[in-house]
Amino acid sequence: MIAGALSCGSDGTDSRPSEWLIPVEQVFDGGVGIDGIPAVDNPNFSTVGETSFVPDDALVVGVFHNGQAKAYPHQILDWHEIVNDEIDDLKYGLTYCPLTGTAINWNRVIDGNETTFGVSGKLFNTNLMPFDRETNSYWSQIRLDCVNGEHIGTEIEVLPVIETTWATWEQAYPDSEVQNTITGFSRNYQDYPYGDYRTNDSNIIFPVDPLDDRLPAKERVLTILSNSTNIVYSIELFDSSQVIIDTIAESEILVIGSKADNYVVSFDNIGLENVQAVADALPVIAEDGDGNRITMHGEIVAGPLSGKQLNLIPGFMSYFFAVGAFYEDIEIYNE
Amino acid sequence: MIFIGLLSATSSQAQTCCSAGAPISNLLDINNAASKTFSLQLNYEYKSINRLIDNSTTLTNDPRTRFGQNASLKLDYSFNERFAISTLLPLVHQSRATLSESQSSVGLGDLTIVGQYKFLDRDFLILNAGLGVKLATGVSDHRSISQIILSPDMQSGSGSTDYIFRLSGSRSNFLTALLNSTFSFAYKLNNANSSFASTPTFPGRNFAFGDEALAIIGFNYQHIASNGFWVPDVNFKYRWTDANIEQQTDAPNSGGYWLSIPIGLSYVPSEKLSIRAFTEIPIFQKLNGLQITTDYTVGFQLNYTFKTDNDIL
Repeated sequence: MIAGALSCGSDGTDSRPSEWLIPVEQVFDGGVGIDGIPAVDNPNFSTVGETSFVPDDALVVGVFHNGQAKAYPHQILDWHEIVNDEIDDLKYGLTYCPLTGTAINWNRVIDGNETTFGVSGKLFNTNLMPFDRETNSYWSQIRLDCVNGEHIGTEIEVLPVIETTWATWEQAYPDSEVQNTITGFSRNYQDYPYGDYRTNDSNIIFPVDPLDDRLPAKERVLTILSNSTNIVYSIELFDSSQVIIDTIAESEILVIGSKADNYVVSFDNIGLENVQAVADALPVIAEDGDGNRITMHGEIVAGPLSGKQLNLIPGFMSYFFAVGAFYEDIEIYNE
Repeated sequence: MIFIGLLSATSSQAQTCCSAGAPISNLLDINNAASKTFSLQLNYEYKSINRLIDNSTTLTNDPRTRFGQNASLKLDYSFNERFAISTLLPLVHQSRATLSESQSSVGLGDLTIVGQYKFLDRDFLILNAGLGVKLATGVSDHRSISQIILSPDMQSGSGSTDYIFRLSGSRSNFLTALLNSTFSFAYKLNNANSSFASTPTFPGRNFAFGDEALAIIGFNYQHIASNGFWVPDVNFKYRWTDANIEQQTDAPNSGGYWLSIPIGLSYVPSEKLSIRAFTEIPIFQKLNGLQITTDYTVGFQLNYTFKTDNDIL
């Protein structure tokens, strides 16, 4: 019969420390439980040529390290939200929240200890809350810190990624590896599991407080956070391939994007001048007045500074409403 | 005739993980009894909710295990041969587990009150119409021990006042004297819980389960035994739910339709008492997106009927 029928209430095994950096009453249970959405801990990869399940207009998230590039299709991230992986000595957890459209790559070595991340099934401001398997601490993906548990207050180290469409990636990085659908789980990776969520501005599943409506909710933006300024660059700014030169924390940055090729990336400038966008030359996306040609991941592949690497700023793409909820003072870049 | 009434309440109902409270639609049949008749029914139902479906494709490797139980007490009263009223109060247990966590909740569900009017009783055919309301009396704010609000499907009640419209009927003496047919159609109009998880400083979440429609046709055969009746029944059920509403918009991964076959076996030792065991076998479902849904249901029902002018409680 009904167990515990005479003792109404709830019970469970999710005992957690009482201290939170976010209001616990605004943390929602997504309904699947801890690890109910299974992270991928042993991803498998194919070559670009072998990859046929990704449509041209589907988004992928690229990670670069030591001259290697790996792409993670949204089609897999939609179903698993976290991929724990490594390239050489770089151990990372690529976290992805389908509800905020945020792919943020986390260093999974914390205080010298390697861990992996899992999906807690909890959401704050409708955003993924990963947990680390080393200490079972809860983290906030967009806040970029631990909000409950042993690591409380610890900021996560964010590693740069590039988000773009498969068509662009395939052209720019034909020698890269691409995560394939051998995940250990049976899922229909051809199906997007959230209906019209990506394009319906009024469809925000869990409460968001505050709801910033200065831009359409689902407009995709590149967010750059710094100690002095938090700013977003909408992909809508880049109707044609374009370079924005901006200053953040007294440092000049280059923001280069293309709506047609569906990417926005940013680099610390190293004194390059007269930087102009270059179209139809992927992976090269810009060139300066001296003929230095810059790739999407910041490598200068031709010109006097050939071989130099621009520092790819670890910003992240997201739906606008998501960063507006976490960073109330965030600026919107406007030409 | 009384057996038809008893058995018209026999169809059990599949339920997705996202239906807080007891699955009431199948329990709303009211016996077409003589006037001034009380009927007391105890129901128990166990639902294993472990089939992971993507539209109509079954997926494997779901790390969750999920089940729900409910026990309900139902009281019917026939004011006369045409008009009757019924109340249903469930006690609900929800459980969810992964390898890393388990959660459960137990609490009173929502109270449902239904009135029924028999508008046709002729040539072995009975037709009823009913109207009902499900009140937000159940517990809808279960929290985990870490004070995180459990999801709506893990609550005992929905926190909303909903309305129910029903048509039901029976045809006795169907083909043979001992074969009967029952049928029902129910529609539940669900409203939103606009303050789910609200606190004095946080408005909470606006959530509504999707409207629900249920159509059942069934057949039962009265086998006469030396000590009463044995009555096997088989039913065909179509259930549809609209998408849930989250923050005023349709929620993904909710709603769809299910086809299933509830079957049961009743023992009726007297006109007053019947006992039924049942199970329900899903045969097809087409769901919106990805959902975990019921893979089987088992339960039993105990029904005791007595006339107020003859019997003593």
